[in-house]
Amino acid sequence: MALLSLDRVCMNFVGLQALRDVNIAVEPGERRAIIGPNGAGKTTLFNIISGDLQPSSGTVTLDGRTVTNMTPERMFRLGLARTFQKNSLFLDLTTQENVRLAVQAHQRKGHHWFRPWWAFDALNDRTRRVLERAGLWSRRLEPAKNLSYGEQRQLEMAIALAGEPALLLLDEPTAGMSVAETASSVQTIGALPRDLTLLIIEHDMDTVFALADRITVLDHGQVIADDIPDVVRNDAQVRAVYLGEPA
Amino acid sequence: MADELVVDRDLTAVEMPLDIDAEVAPKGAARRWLGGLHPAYLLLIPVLAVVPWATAQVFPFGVSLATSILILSVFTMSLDLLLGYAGLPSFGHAAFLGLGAYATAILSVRLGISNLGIALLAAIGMASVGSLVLGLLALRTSGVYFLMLTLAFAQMLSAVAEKWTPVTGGTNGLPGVKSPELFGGIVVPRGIPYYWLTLVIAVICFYLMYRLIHSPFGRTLIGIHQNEARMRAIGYNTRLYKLGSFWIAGVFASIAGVMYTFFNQFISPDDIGFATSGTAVLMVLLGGEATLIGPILGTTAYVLLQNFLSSMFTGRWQLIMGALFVIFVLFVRGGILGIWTRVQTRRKRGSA
Repeated sequence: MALLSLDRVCMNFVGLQALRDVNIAVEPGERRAIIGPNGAGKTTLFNIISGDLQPSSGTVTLDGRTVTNMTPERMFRLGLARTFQKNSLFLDLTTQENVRLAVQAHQRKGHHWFRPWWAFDALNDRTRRVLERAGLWSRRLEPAKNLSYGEQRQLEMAIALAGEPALLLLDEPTAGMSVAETASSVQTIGALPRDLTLLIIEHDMDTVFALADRITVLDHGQVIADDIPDVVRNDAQVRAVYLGEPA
Repeated sequence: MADELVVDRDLTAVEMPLDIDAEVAPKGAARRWLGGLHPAYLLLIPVLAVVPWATAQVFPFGVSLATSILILSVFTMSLDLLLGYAGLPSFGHAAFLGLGAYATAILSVRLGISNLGIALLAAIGMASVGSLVLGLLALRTSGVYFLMLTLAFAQMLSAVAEKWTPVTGGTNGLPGVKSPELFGGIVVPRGIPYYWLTLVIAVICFYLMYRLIHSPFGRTLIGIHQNEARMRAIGYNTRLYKLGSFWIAGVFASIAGVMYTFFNQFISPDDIGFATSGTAVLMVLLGGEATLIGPILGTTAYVLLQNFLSSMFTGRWQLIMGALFVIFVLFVRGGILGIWTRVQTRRKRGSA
């Protein structure tokens, strides 16, 4: 059974139909890329899946449960985490605290109001492991705003992974990165556990073909292709709308 | 196009003073037990207890100044939990001070009960109901709407105090509040004994709030202040946390209200009006928000300046105070404590 499925999802903004009858099914452990030209509705689609937006019609199912109208915090507890297209960090807080807040949410320790944070061993152990895996342990006391852009993207992902999600939405994970940073990001994403299902929006085609098991192509709010990379690469309609070649 | 219709989340990020020390787990049993506070600060307690008493001959008003600084500090620290930590701009915090203050006065004057414990319980009960009701309404909004709702609530309460004459004494207020009684019938008279009692209460309040801001709950509030959308995305029910902070801040403010009424032995609608809410915001900004020491410094500076200026320039001191405030807001971000931290960082850089 599909881990995530979208059934005839539509999204109407004032004067604009951003998504039209989108059907997508993502299997557990799959790495799915969603591509499409600017304005195709990719980010809207992400926001609907993550619960940040409510679709105008249609249903979203996560692990057999209808989650169409759930809030982001409930979606997170059901095992869905996301990164944002623009970094959404706690810029004035330290790198460590950025991660710890996420671990704290996952371990449900946020309501403790008297014991100081350092007295929670499981919380701090997990925070340390997440920071080490992201290569940020040595930078833990640096405010997030002082990190390099690449480090900030790493932190963005570390926060999303802190909650041990089953499904991770990556919104343009290599946007704005240098070639070297992109390569290291692709490596980090590639090294994520295979049982973690990934949904990636990405512009960089090399990244998409390096990571994705399957690709969904959106154009003007509609799915125009949904297949394995080799088939999508040679699809005439995709080449026409996405790569700008005549069909 | 569609992608651009999504609100830019970075707009919600707020600049905050960063307390790196709060991110390093403290060493030593004493510090851990104190919630990270350096044990040397404990020495302040006997100093604070002795100095106004020892200097009473030279500064006859020292004791009452010190008492009101302590009471107002509890009030401004509680406001800072909202303003500096949770990022909730409450301009009606005097409402909760008022609930505590009137609960105490009504108990003492109308019912003849001047027991401190009972007054505190009544105040906390009133403030809990008030803050939860207002919180549930006001927290549906944010920013300037939140500000207006808290302001309106406070104005409403002070209107009740003004009109409900049989209970609150109306515009005349409630004079004749007795000195507080502890359990066992010990009465704490005015002057030095009441100052010591206030010191004990203020120290307990400070300790509790200090633990709170270093706890997971306190760190969560800071996260919400910084980037609420992200906190929701990582699984926090942010409205519930904000409601919690609103309740806690209301309860501490009401404790300040109890001490305020017993100190002045009188309460009137003027004490709980907008002037009090506004001044408290001023004190927090003056001292430095998002710290607990900041509100204490701001309150101390404000009260001392007010006394000094009003005796020097009768009638014009508010002009000077206003100018000072404008200077602080424009040029001294982070308040008095901000100046101190900047000097410290510069000195560290100089020696490195």
